[in-house]
Amino acid sequence: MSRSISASQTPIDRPSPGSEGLWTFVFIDMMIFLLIFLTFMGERIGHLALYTQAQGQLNELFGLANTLVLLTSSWLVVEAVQATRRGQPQRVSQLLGGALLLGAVFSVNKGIEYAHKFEVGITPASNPFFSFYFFITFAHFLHVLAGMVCIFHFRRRARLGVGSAEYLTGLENVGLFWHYVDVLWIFIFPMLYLMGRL
Amino acid sequence: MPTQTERPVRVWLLLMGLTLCSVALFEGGWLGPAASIVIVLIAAWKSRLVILHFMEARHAPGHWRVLYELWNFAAAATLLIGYLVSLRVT
Repeated sequence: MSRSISASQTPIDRPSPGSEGLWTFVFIDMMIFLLIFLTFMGERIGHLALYTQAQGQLNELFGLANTLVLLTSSWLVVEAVQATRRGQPQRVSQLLGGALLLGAVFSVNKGIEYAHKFEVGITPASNPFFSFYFFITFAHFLHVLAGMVCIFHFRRRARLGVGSAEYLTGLENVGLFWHYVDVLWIFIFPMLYLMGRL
Repeated sequence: MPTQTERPVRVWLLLMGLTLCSVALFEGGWLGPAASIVIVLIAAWKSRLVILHFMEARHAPGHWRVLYELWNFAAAATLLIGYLVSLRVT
């Protein structure tokens, strides 16, 4: 269905953001992560002393920095979607470039964090807590990389114009996925780094 | 009523503030289960802000808003109940 909207339209007039397929895809992924959270919390109850001791080896500043980076990147993508609705290709390109840069900052930060762990001999095989830590954070990191590839693609396309309904829906889908990556981290950060250490 | 262009920046500032509050609880040494519970509640609030305002679930078909909000509730409940049960075990 073709669509043409502007920022001046009220929410009632505006077609729903993104496509039905992407809302479904993200929801399936959300349910998988919910099961992972459930399994982690269940295992934590059974081995509380080990989990609490291992959690103490994490540096929460890495988690905090990545939370702030992802929230900011998410905001830039929201602004890029709005700039698309206003028909501002250069602005869209700048905003997506900023989001991409922050995605790269997240990746470097994650790499440094993993390197520190490996340096002191901590691996996914060290104990069950670190099995979960590496599995959850690496699965999330793969989502970040996938989101970055999509943002890169739509940034390139923005130079050719952002006026089509197809571009808008595509970018809304990318935004939906990128914000989901943010939502995941919002829960992963307290679950792995903060909760129970207090 | 905020305009379309200023609303995202206000949500972003609120999200940043809530994140810093969470870590301030940790770094400030407010010890005990209450701090962990507050941190999870803050995470649920932040996640809901992202779902409603950044994902624009407010403007999505109603069933998606309901399902995404239910997921948010379930994720927060998983963390909270798991944590509270672990307190009873110790």
